Amino acid sequence: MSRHIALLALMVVLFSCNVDYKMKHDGVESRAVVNALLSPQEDFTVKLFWSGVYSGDSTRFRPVANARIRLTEDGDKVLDLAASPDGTTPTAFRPTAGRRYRLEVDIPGYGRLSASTEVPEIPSVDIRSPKKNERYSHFELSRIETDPNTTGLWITGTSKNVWLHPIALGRQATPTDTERDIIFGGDDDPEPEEIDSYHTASLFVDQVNAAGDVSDAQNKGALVSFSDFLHITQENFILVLPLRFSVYGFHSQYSEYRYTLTATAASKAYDLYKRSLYKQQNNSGGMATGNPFIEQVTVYSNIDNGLGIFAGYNSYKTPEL
Amino acid sequence: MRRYLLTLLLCLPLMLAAQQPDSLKLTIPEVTVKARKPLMLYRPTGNVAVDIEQLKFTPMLAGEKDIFKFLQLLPGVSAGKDGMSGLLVRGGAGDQTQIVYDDVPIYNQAHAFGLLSIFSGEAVQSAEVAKGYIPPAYGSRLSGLTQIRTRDGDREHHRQSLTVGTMSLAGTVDGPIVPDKGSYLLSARYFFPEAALALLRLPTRYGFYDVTGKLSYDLHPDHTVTAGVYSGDDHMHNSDDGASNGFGWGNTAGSLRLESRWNDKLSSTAVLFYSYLNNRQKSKFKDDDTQINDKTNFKTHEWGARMNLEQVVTEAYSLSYGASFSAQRFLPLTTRSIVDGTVNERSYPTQKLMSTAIYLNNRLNLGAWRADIGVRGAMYDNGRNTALSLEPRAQLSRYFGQDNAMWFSATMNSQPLVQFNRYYYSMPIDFWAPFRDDKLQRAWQLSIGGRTRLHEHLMLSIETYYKQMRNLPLIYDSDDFLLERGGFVYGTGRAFGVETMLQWQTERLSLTAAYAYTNSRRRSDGVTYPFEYDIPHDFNAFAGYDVLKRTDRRHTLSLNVAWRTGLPYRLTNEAYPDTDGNPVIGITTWPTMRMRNYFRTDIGYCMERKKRNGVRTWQLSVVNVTNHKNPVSIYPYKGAYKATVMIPIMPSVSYTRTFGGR
Repeated sequence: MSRHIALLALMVVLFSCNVDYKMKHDGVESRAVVNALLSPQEDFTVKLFWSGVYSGDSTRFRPVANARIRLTEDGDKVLDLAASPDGTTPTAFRPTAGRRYRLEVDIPGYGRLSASTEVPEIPSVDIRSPKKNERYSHFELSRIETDPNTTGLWITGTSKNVWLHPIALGRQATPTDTERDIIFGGDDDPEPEEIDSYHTASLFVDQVNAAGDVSDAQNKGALVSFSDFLHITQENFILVLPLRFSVYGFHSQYSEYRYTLTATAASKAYDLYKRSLYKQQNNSGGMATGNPFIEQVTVYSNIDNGLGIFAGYNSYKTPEL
Repeated sequence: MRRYLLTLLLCLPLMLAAQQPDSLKLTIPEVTVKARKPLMLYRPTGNVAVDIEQLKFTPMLAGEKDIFKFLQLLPGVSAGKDGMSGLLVRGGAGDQTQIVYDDVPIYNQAHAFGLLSIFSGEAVQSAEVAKGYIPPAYGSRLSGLTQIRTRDGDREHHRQSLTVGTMSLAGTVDGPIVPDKGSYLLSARYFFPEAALALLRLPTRYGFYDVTGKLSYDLHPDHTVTAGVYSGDDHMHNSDDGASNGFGWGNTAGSLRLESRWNDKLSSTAVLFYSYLNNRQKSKFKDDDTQINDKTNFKTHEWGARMNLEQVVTEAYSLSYGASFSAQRFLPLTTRSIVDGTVNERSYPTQKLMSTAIYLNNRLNLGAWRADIGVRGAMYDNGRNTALSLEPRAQLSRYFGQDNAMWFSATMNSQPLVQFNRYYYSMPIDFWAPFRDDKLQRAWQLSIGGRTRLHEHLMLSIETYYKQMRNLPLIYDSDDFLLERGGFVYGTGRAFGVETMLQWQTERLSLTAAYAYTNSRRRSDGVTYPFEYDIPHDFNAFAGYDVLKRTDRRHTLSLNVAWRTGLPYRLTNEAYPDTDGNPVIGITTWPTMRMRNYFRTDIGYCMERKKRNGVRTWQLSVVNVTNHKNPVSIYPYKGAYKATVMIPIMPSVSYTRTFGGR
């Protein structure tokens, strides 16, 4: 909703504009950055780099060449290894839900970085797709069960345009090559794509990524769109139900969109990090253009003596809907 | 601290040297004013009164005669961000200035996302900002008091006026109810582009309106009752094909005031008031299968009463005393959702604040000396904690004739409220909450200043101050704060400043130049840093020249020039990778840089002509005539930085026609 507010505010602030701005480039003292997410669905990887000077997407970060990584699970050591000199240290370790973890990274000449987190239990959710219209698939989230370590639920997903065989549908028509190109872009079996927009009228969904979208309301079921994800905070887990939302998908007699949704139970650190990261991205780059109300958002970090994040999460993936 | 006190003391002899002790009379003799009226009057201590009538001769933003835009140019007062409607006084935050509209506290003074204030220039009679000595009758804010008064209706003649600005259409009617006994005033303003959006059937609409009404009646030659009401609202709405969503905010305020003169030595004022702020958001959808109806409100209610008595004990000694009471209810974020008939409702805990205060002010007039010695005792109860505050306040003035004076004041203030913004944009959709943990925000301030006439037409005012603040709640997560699970830390603050103002008045020319030096700091988590709106150097000049001055016509050219140091900003050129390797900007939790310096020049030309049955006024303005790119925000963009400019060059025109009157 906030972006919606700001964009519409521009209608009033007819004259606001954007100009290039020169910043003084004082020397930046590099700080160590550790990024390490813990999930039972992923092998644990530690990324260690030095911070640098901002230069857009071309910014390159030097890896921390020499460091020692230790991970404890409820106080017991489970990992103790040297960091990879290229900055990314993969391991075969997967955490257990409900346990508490502590990460320590010793960098000679710099000091120790440390952080702690929990890994929540896998969320138990019911999501079904009760209806589809020509351009949108509608979903209903009717149940959320999580453990107390979960402070937020993130719903993300992928979509894939699937070829419907005419015989299977009992139809006689088959698309021409041109029609197949239009529908599938020349690829009958495209890779799933991240869903970039969700539509819901619910005010119990975190409005951090909401924006007004005055088009096709009847098909979408809402005039508010949420970029990239739906985020529900813990206190709204019950109140938000049933949550009805829709995502875009063009359905024809030859093809339909199918979706795989992921419900991620977030630890507090993961929740704060992801939300603040989104807020910062929303307040910089192209998203900030023309908006006089942007704010400087500090991305959450729980790393003592450094930057970055060490956080646990646990995801449930629906079958194809 | 010592450094600042020392500087304060050093300023004292400088100001003493500027005085001319020629007369000890305090009363201002009646004079025939030939000179142009000044836009404002500097009063002890640090308090400024603005002549609203003169505002029409100054450049206007979007064709609106907005008192707040002018108050922001006063030394020691700032808007915060360029173009906004804040009133930040002497290094204080926006919520540290109490805004009182006809005795009613106002909790959101912004129309049009802060571009305009809610106070229509058609209805306002006077405005006064107290930056230093705040009378003991008022409290509950740390830094300042702004009192806005609506004008009374004319008691002899019926009058009507219509103003068409670039953004709004305003109409005012006033006149006698019973000649010389009572009057009425009704003023309304509407953002007329909304009507155009509606006619064009666009799915997105924005609008605002406000209505001000006032009735005044003499129950008896010594007893006058006044009833005032204000209602205003801003609303944004999208609708299409069975779906709609929108948001808005609005103030409603009402007051009933009885002014009585019991005898030559005793008078009283009794006031009942009510103030209501509603921030809201709603969303609806309906089709054959689904019906959704969601609404979120954030409401602040306040009702209260105030009784003030003015008593003249002797020629040299008078008293002002009284009591006030108010009850506030904060209903934060009540969300009600109806999905196919199933109702879900969630409310954050309702919070309350009861405020009670008694006060006494002793005024002594001893020759050329005048002293105000007062105390305010306040009790605040948030339902869980009761906090007491004893706030002694004093000011001492020494007059040297009618034009020269010097003054000193010492005040203590407390604040039981904090304002915060739930959205991550700094927008005027702000919420209020009472104090926590038995900790009131507290401040004390010392001010010393004076004024002197340097020349027949030239007046100099100078004032310096030091202020310390503690228990400032610095909120970093508004949801956690609302749910009472942290989300804030307590910090301290201090501000030091020097304010000077030069006023040159001749028959045709009015020139005011003001400079303020401010050093405002905050401290939290062991770090001291510049306050978000710290402006070390702030220079403003306003000039008005009557190009044509006849009994039936007046043309005035006006010019405002503002220059100030850029605002502190929390942006570094440090970046580090996120979990996907993309750059995160290393934005610190306190300012690390400053925006480039601010500069703005506004020009206005006002043409006033008396007609047979009223007055016609054209006002042409160009705000930021040099099109200086003053940033309100900076953000990283493709490896470089961009700035958003709120107010580039902005021409506007307004037309006012009044009918009737004398």
